[in-house]
Amino acid sequence: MGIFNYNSKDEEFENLTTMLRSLPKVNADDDFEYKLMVRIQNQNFTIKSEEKHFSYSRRLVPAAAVAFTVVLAFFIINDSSVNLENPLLKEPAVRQASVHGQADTIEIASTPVFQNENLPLAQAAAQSASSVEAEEDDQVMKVVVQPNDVVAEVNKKAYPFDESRSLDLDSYVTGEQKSAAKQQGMLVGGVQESNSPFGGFLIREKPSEEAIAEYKAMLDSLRKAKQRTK
Amino acid sequence: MLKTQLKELTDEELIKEFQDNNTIEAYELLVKRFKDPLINFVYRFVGDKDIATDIVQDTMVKFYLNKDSYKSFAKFSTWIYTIAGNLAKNELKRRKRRVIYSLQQNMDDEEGRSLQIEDKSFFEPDRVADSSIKSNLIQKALQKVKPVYREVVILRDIEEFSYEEIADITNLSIGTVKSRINRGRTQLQKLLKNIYKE
Repeated sequence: MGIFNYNSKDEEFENLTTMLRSLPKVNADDDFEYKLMVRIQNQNFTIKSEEKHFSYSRRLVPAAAVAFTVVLAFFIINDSSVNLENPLLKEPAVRQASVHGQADTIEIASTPVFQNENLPLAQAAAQSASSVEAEEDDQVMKVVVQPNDVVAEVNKKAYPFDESRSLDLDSYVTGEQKSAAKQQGMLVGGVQESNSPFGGFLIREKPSEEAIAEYKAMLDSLRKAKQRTK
Repeated sequence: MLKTQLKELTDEELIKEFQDNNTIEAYELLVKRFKDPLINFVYRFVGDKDIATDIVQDTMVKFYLNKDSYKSFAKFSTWIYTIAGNLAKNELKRRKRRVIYSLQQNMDDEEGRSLQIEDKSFFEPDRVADSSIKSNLIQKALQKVKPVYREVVILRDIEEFSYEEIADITNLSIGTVKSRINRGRTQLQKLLKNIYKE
């Protein structure tokens, strides 16, 4: 069993080794020792060849970028997992939660919009004062919305007629509603204009004598009935 | 101890004097003895005189600071060459990060063919005649050898250390040292093929 002899290989590379040994010797500079001793005296012991340079940290840049991306992706994925439910398909929140169990009341009051331009100023002032009184009492519409969105109460007048100029015949006949003298006067005289923006329809036609007689008879019967109830 | 007496001391005696009595003259004498061979070794290894000078300066500073880490059973020369070699290798690693690899730097034994093609254009016969150019070409060829092989070839063929000393310096077994020397020489021989023909 032969042993590989590396020393025999030296002869094989004899030319090469001769060439390498013939290379000129490189010597230190003349001030080498002086610089070294100055460095030692100044306690400047920083080893340049062992310093860590910025290039080392630059090598870590891709790793840092990957780590940052992973952290970012983690938060993004985490957020999306929370909001998996489509908000468009989601049941709306119960209104009760937002209104704290209190019923909402919506009141729509009628306000005088029109004014009769033909009236004198003094009369207009008196009319506005009376209309304010009427306005305080009158509520055109009252809607109560309960927390579960159920409309609980609707108080709405059937027609936007001025009550001062209108009369519920049934209640009038049975005596449940007693109109004020002012109201009666208005009914008969019709002088005072209403504050309501809608005064009803007016058909201009000459009444026939038969119709007048019929209405008179009706009124007489009403008066008689009224007297009887008294 | 007088300076004349110090001059007669061996390397190991001088460092003992420096360790025991902190004699700065002993340190200066050792620097004077080893600065040139160390610069020659490091220059052949890294290929730059200024860098080699800096590395040897650093070696001497390390020697000054860590004098007590030297143990008397080892040769001083192997100890100081180990320090210089390690610093030189660190420098090469730093440089490697900056320099883009060339095909030549990454070569393996199997890639010898590409080297030969490169060498034909590189080593023109008329230029090789000049000895200074010749040594320059050898130095360049040395730089193309892998650092692990280059170090042992320089220590063996230029600094003329024994295999045992090289094994101590590189902290390798003698077998590994011999193997690496042969591989390094083979690479270098291929690179310097045209010079041999002259």
